[in-house]
Amino acid sequence: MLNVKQITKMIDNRMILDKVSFQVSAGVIVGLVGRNGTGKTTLLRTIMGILDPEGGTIEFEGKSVHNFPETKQQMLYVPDSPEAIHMYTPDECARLYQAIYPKFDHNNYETLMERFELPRRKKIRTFSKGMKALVSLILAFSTRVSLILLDEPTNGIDPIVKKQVLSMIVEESAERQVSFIISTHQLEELERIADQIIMMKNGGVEVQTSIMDTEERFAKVQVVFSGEAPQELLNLPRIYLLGQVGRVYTLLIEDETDKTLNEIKEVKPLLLEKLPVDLEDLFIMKLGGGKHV
Amino acid sequence: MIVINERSPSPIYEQIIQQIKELILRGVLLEGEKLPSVREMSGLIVVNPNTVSKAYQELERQGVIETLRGKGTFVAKQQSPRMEKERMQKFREALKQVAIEATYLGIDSAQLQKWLEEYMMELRGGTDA
Amino acid sequence: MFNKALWIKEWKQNGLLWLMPILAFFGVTSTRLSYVMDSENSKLMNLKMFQEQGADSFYLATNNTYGTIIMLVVFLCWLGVNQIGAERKNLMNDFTFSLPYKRWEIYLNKFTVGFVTLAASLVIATIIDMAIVLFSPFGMFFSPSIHIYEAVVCLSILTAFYSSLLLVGTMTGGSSMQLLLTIIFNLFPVLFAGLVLYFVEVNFGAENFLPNMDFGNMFMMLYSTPFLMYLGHIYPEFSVIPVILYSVVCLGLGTFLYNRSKLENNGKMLLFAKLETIFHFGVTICFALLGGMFAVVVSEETILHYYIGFIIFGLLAFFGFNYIKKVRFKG
Repeated sequence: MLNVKQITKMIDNRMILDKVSFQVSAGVIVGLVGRNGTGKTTLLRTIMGILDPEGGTIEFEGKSVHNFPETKQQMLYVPDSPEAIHMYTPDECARLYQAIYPKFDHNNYETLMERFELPRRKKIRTFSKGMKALVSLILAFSTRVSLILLDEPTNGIDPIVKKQVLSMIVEESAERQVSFIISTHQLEELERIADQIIMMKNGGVEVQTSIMDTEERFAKVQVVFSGEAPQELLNLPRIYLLGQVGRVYTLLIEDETDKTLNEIKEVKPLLLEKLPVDLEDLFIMKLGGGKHV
Repeated sequence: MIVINERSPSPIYEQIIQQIKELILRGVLLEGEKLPSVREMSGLIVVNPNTVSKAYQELERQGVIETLRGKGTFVAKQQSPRMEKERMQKFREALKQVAIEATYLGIDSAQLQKWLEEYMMELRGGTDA
Repeated sequence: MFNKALWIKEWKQNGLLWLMPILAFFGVTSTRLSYVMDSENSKLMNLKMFQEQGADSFYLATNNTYGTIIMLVVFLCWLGVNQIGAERKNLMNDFTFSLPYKRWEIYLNKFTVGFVTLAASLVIATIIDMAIVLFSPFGMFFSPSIHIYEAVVCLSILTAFYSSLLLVGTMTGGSSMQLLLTIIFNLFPVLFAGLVLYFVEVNFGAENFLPNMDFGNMFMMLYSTPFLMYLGHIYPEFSVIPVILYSVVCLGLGTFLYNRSKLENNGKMLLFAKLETIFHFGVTICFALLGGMFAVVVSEETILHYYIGFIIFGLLAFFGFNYIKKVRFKG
């Protein structure tokens, strides 16, 4: 549905996006992660045609978004702060969206506003942070677009509203095959709701993986070796040191996990315990300073 | 109903499968009872719908639940656990891993049997009540 | 040009648009109203005076095109800045550009919202004005063509200014820059002419200069913006064609540039890096000429001081510009 092809973007003579490519199909929730300043927001803005890339194209259903802005009738960008619609009341915004997006469903908008008990005739600027997040999403879902880009949707929101927001996202994805690209630092959330993760580093796509794959491709263990830690083993590129406390090593293994685990078992460690792999571990391994033993 | 533990080494979709099975075994979910739809379930536990769908599909494949077209997903008749060769094999593999782990942890088979009995009693206690 | 959604958005965003008809009303009718609501004695005296001087004298005396244009120019400054410059902060530009419309469509709709409101305001005000004159003691002087002429003058000059304001908006990164540069752009020709003349005078002497140039023509050339031509009271020779042409050119250029907006430069002085060299050159020259003029005026010496001022201000501008072009303003 969405095809990002070799996008390059320079700002102030710095390469912010470096030949970024990926695809998003219908009904898929994609998590976009990366350290602060790696160009995640720039990428989202480029996809929406707000910024023009120096190279590459963005295609939606095969048509260039830049040349055919009508394709954006199926796309919506929800920034982390709804400043643009601050002066609107939700009803006014709904009226505007109805004129812009042909599939806008006013009944859905009214139902959701009622369900969450949000005021429809007060300016959005007066809402609390949680309310702003909810109303942005309600308006976004009511447009019935097929691709929604979310920039930090749960930033600064209390846990109750956060759960409501995330529930809404997965339900919408299930019900209407809406695709999401969610740029966030909330890795635990992504672990639960995302299908795919795109990790960005230095303006390029460092890792692109599906959540299921990560569970299969990676393993995390805590090891205590008897005697000296075997350097040749630990120096293997597929082993990454997540941390070390005293003689307890926490390792992340990428690919050939069974084989590697057996290799570790062969040196008869005092302790070998398998731990669940977090997205956070992956994040540190791929986007961190690059610590190998 | 279902609680997903992020810290668990078991992947989310397996947790869903296990917990639904457990709920059925304990009698919390009765035969013929309607399960939440994929959409409802994903919203309830805040999990990606494809993951929920995968769990449901596996449960259906195992005969634990069944989908009636246009009506929804229901708990299937749980007469006797179906002896699928494949499931048996998987189960024995898992058992083997447990044995390996036990050896490493220094747990002997007597202790293992004791724990097994405890867990079996717990489950049985649930279905009897 | 007339997109429903974009119009809803523009009307919401520019909440003060309803002020325009009110301002137009006050502008067009105020002097005439003051004559009409004067004391009976004054009215009789004026009536007599106008009858002696001829019908046209009434209109000349009560004309307030000047005031109307000034008032509405101020309002249009707010409007044009609010439509383009103010969007460049607060993610508003992001919102606008993420909508499913071509950029030139967005730009033209902004223009038409302003233009249609302006035109409608002037038309209504003119009609009321005509009624006021017709039903007043001065009704005998009534001449519809003069009313229409005044309205056309107002509309064309204001549209020209408005389109230049929007055009500058496509090139600048923020509200204050848009306003500042528009004012400079509209007054620039005559100020620049003054600086150049001074340069010539100081270097070659005034006597050498005057006979060699066709003064009138040169000044006509330099009064090149409609607004300026109007301020300079050249309007008796007013022809609407060049003014309309000016608006069309500004509009066309603005649309072209808006299509190529580089939003990553929002907040900076100029939106397009390519324009920076031209501006840099222009600003340096202007400041240099200005410096020279200051030096001579202050010290009352001639050529040497002129060039001292010239060089100092020139260098200041040259390096100052390098610094400013990297700064991102908040407004």
